[in-house]
Amino acid sequence: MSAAASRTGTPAGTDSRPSGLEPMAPRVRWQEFLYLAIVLVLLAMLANFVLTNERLNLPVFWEYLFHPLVLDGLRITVILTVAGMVGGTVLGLALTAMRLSSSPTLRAVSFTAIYVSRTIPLLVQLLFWFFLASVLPRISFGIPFGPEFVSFETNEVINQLGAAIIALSLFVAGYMAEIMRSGVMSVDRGQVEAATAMGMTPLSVFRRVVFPQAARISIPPTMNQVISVLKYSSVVILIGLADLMYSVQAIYSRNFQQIPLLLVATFWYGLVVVVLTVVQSQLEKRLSTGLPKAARQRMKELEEKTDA
Amino acid sequence: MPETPVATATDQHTAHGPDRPMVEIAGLCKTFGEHRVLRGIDLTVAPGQVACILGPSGSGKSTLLRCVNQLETATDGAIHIDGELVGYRVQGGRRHPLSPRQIARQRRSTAMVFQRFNLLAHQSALANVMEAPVHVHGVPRDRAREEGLALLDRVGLGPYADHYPAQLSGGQQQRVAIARALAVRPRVLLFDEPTSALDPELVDEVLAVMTDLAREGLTMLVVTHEIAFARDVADTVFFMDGGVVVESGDPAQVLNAPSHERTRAFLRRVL
Repeated sequence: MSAAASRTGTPAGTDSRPSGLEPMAPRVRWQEFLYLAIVLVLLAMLANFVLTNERLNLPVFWEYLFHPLVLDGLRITVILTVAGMVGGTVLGLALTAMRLSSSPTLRAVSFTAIYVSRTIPLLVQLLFWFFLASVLPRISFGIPFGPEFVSFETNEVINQLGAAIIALSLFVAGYMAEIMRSGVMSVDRGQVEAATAMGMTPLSVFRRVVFPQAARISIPPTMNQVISVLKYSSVVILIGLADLMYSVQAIYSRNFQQIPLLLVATFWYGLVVVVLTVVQSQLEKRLSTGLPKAARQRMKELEEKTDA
Repeated sequence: MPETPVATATDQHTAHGPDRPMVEIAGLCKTFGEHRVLRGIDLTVAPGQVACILGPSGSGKSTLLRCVNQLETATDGAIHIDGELVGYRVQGGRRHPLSPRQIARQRRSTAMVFQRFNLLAHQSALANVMEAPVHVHGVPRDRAREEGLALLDRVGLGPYADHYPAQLSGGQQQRVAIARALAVRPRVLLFDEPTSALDPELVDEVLAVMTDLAREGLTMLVVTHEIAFARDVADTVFFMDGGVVVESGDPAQVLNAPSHERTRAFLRRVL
């Protein structure tokens, strides 16, 4: 219904009607004006609330928007997101390869790992790795049940940042494994057979045929995952890691200006998502070679649907 | 017409001698679970010959073809291509299955044209034709491009080199697929119902290209429902039903005066 709202005029060239029928009357969608009016009133109310409300204390928002504590927190949040995604994607790729392999043992391992990764709440994983030292004071590498070569104090290796990155990576791995598996499975079997029949090794088939097409399919869900991790990373506040949310909270616990500072956090989270969205659309453009225009258009529509 | 990179009959004869069969299948069996799809197939194709395999759906024609290039692994029996045992290495009086890498290497002697074209969707027509020469055979990119363009010209698609598969008609896609198969100079060309997925008016353009190839002396193993093509082009016709070769021989004899009742029943239905 709403899609037709823009088509209110008649097509050009109505004079050249060969049929001699009555001309088309323009179609006016009166309800569109009503919707617009309601939205404008709501916007006016919001503006009124923001601009005339002295308790909202907007100057505090501007004062802290570029505060060094806030920017340091943002840096940690971005580091956590990038590290968690990279770690999770590498692990996820390994899990996908195992899940799709012909070995029953590897498939079972992958299935179990994906189950564990997706089952344990992120918060539980975070605290688990943070408190690991209480049950495993030293981490050592060596021959199992034999001599050890190197060992470390657990608390030296897994500090707050380490625990957070490990927890996020393991949390992401299960989801990324499933995203990549669905991408791989979406690639046309016939193309895989054609490449195989050419004499390509299984690795070449993956590199030349499966990966390029699976990657394109996997971009939108992967970007969803990145945005989730960006936001989920705020749980590190519980182990005292100074990310964006931690910094904002530290500030408002002193000056009691909760709402303006939450708006500061919202602004930065929002900005990162805008950047990610631009990156996503560029990536999709680059990887959509061979898609006919219609398919590209359809992909765009699907995206808009998932975004809504 | 430009020089095209296709092995000719004379190449094949000088390289291998005229006596040794190009494809030799003996006692081939294939079961899927309980289902016996192939029940002992014997089939021979001499170098430079065209063999057409006819038969009703489910008779095992496609499975047979897919065993030749090891997309399926036969349960029993042996296939030799140009004298080389397919899929196994004989050592100490036993057959040892080849590794996936070795199988990939062995597949280089054949090329396949599929019912559903199976062009790589993310690559242009030219890139599809260049894919195997560059990434399997290590042909330099410039030469592969030159030869790829010549091949596309030859199947009448020179102007479409930069088109993606989705921008081509079914007949055009299948002709690109044929050019792609020729690009690796296969010793045997396998066709798996190459015209079955095409609209009727597009069938002829593909059959015309295949007829040309047959005249040039390529060894071809063609699974098809096109009786007229088999009659005009094939050197030998094999009629399959229920996983066995019911009847084989000269196309004029098998198609015009079949000796077996099942062949007669099939031909009555399709003609």
